[in-house]
Amino acid sequence: MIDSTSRTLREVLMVKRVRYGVIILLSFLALSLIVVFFSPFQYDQISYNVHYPPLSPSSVNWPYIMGTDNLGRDVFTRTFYAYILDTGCGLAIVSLSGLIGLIIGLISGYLGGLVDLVLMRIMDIVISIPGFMLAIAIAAVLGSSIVNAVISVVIVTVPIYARLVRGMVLSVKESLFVLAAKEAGLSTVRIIVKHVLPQVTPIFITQLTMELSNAIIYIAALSFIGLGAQEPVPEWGLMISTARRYVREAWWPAVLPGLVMFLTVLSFNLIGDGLRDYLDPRKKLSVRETS
Amino acid sequence: MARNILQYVFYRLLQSILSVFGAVVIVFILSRVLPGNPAAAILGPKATPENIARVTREWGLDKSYLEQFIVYFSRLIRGDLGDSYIMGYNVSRLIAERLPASLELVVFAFALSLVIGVTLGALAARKHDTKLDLALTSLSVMGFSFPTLLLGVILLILFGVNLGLPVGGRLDARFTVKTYTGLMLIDTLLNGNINAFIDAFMRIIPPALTLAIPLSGLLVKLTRNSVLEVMNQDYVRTAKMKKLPEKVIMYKHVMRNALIPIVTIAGLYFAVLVTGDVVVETIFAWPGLGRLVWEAVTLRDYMVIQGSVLLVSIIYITVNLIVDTLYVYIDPRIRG
Repeated sequence: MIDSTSRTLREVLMVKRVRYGVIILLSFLALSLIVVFFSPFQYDQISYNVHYPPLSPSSVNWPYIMGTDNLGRDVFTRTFYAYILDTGCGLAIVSLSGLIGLIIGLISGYLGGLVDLVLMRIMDIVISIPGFMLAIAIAAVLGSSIVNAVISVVIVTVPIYARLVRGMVLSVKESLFVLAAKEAGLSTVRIIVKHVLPQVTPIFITQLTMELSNAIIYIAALSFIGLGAQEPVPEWGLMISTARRYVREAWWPAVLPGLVMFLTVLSFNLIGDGLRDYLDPRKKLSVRETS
Repeated sequence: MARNILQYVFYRLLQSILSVFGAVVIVFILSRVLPGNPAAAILGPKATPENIARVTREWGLDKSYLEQFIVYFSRLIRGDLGDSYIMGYNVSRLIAERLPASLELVVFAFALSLVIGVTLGALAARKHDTKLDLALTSLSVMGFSFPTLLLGVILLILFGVNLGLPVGGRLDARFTVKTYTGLMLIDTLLNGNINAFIDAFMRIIPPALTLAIPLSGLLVKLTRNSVLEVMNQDYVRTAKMKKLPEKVIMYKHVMRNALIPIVTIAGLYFAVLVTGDVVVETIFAWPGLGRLVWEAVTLRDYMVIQGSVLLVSIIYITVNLIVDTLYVYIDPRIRG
């Protein structure tokens, strides 16, 4: 068991894209941990003596590696605190909406009939509204906070998984081993958990990885327009939103967090893309919503 | 066969109507779960007892939810999205004023990404498995992963600060242009004001590029794969054996067929552009629908948010319907 897992892992890492993605992922994670435990600055530590103009990223301004923002806060510290917050939110979003979508998809696909009809029509309606717009409407009702932003993105993204899982369940449902299990008198729950779920898992996990980058973009965009994190929380979208106001004087508080966000999104796209090719070499096109 | 198409289109039409109705229901439910008194939430901080009484009467807020929905729906059908007490206008009018600016930006960006994406994608396919192909494919993945947020800020700095070009808004305040179509590029030309046209053109480039680059990345990938697939077809091989010039094969045999899936998939993404628009319009102070949404969020003007979400949803559903219908006409294999 462990042998086959480590072999799969080795094989997946052989895919170049996955390897590059994992390298970015691990180095950013390491930088974040270094920042959290060893940074000489707090993420909200304002220093008035370098208030304005902000310090630029240069060796003269050591230890401000990425310079400071308009309040003299260390951009490097804030950017990598934000790495933990944003990827954390992304992980929370995909695991929550993935779980809810998985359950809905399994029930809908396996039971069929009226349950399937009702659940899927609801999913159709949710998916027919542009995701970001719906997230804005929900977040605006719930009120501006990062938790509410996460909730609204979860609601918007559930149908993606529900539909995916339902489709796969439908194709597995009629296969011989499931029919055999049914003949053998196994309970519905047991058949779903023991026989259907394992068939669905690989593609499902790939989809989760791909959606992780979308979730991060959603959270940053919601925070950017004022519906997510609030000052002084270090969050990429919020940092860019604040820094763009004085971008003519100082580019780094806006561009550097943005670059780290870009590389983070890229790393998850690379891993997801590579995983998908590894699992299904026929399907190489990728079509996703970006915002 | 023709009946099948009609049936399919009819089915999709019904589905779209259902989706629009569903969107209306969702937005209605959201507006009624607003914390506190919905009338007070509609009115915002300027709420007075008289106004609360008036809004309650206007929307039937003291009646049952079903009756409230009927009031809401019947107003909606007449194109009335309600009044924004915070911005002080009718929401339908606010949106109608802003829509042309967004439309212009999105159409421009869409055209731009089609040109960039299809050209580079076809190039990558023709030179497949060379260094150029690898470079283009990698660039497309990068472009696709580029967050609009970062791209917008970088282009703002590049065009506004480094190149010193006019950035932000649609037109410099020193130009006065009479409105004919609401589309600035056309209006300035109709006014015969070349300087204004140049100014408007330079201002639309950075936000349009911000929207276009990620979409181009996707299109490069799609075009490359689609062209490669067609290039392996028998009729292309036959054309090659007939020693037709490569250019003729590329344009007459390959591109024409390869473009079918691209155009339709790109059509779907047209609607996605409308969404990405909120961030871009905020960064470039582009006075369109996206900027309106941002202003409404900042002012906590729920009526405007609700109206915009509804309108964008309807546009989105309609575009999807049109694209699907076109698809059936172009590609007979879909008519199942």
